[in-house]
Amino acid sequence: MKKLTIKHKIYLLRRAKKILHRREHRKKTPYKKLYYKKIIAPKILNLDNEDTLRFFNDIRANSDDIRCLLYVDFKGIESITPGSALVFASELNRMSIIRGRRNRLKVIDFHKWNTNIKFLLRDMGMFELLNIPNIPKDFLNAEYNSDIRFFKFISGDSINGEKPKEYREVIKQVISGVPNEKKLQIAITEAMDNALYHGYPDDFIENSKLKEKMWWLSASLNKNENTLNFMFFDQGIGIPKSLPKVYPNLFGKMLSLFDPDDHIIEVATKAGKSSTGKRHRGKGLPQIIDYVQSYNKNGYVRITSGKGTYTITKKINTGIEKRSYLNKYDIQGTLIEWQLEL
Amino acid sequence: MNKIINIAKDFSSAPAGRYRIHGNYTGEVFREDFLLPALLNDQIDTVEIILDGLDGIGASFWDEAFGEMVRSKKISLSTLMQKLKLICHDDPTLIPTINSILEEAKGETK
Repeated sequence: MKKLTIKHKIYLLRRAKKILHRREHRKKTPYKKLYYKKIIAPKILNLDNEDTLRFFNDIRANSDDIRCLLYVDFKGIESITPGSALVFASELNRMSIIRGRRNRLKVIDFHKWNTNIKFLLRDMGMFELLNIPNIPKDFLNAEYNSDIRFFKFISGDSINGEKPKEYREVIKQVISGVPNEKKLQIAITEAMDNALYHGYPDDFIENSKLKEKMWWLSASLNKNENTLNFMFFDQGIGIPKSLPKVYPNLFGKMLSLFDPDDHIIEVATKAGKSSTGKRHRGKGLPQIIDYVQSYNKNGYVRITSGKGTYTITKKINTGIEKRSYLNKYDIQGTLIEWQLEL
Repeated sequence: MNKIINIAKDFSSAPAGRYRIHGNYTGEVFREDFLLPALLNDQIDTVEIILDGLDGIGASFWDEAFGEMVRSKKISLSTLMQKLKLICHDDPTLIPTINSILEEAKGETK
């Protein structure tokens, strides 16, 4: 064996010292354990029901944590309203975006699901758009007739007037015409503008797991009631929290401090001229409401944001009715629902 | 010289929204890339804006495209009023809507 020179010995000693020093001072990061969580969906998915909002809150809280192996039990769902279906789809969409391809959602116990729910979710495009891999192919192509028809939801992260325009064309393949199309286009594009401009401020995006400023749009047709619904949802800060940012004057601050969420939504639908002094602002929400108010048959527009819900119902016989109420849980975004009698 | 801008054909039949960062066919894009270059060009005497063939367009687009032109003072009011000509055959509400936006914006700049 070759004899080591003094220089080489010093080098080896120094190197050993360095390695030891590094080992001793290496930061000990705690091992993050994966954990398992099961969330059971309520029997009736309806936003008027506090169990539904709690269910969405549970999904959001656990889906944002990628260490959580989340199991959402769909077996018990017996009915689902169009608005809650869109919020549900958006939550699953968010989960698949945050978790990426490696954590693709899988369907289990599919045969135990309520048949009607399976087909409604299929028509809504839930399985297809969320890229859920293990759905039986014969089910995807099977024919199913139901009184309620959901249309495939669409989503985006920019304001694109072509998307609602194309969406209307899809609906027109099923029904003869969409009422008051131009006003619908205005209502939806103003909802997009509100979502992107007010809904996702920079500090909110910074702290959010979802970095895209996303919106979701869907529609449903109720053949029994002869009604057409449109739903628009964003997962932003919500109207009650965005109002002080939109109106950073005393009016906005006082309103957000002392008023319940449902009242803030109501005020926001009327805001503009009186509150800011800037007359060109605050016209989006009034135009969103105008779609139903200017319609010549029955209908309603319901805005659920934060913990508040504000509904304007138009009845041809009795006129306009306004109702607002507080929910126990936050919807974690803003949902706008328009219903029109056909 | 006249310049004709047909929004539906030259820009988009479904423009929407205010700011460039939010989309390709917003009010800011139309103002900065179409309206102002034409209105500020000394060789162009009249800018005709054709509003036919458009889908429903929200107040945020019109306000950002036309109202902000007045508020930003990039063009004098007199030049704007002298050069701008709005043409619409299929929606009688559009020209009054844009005119009221211009009036409001004038009021805000005072």
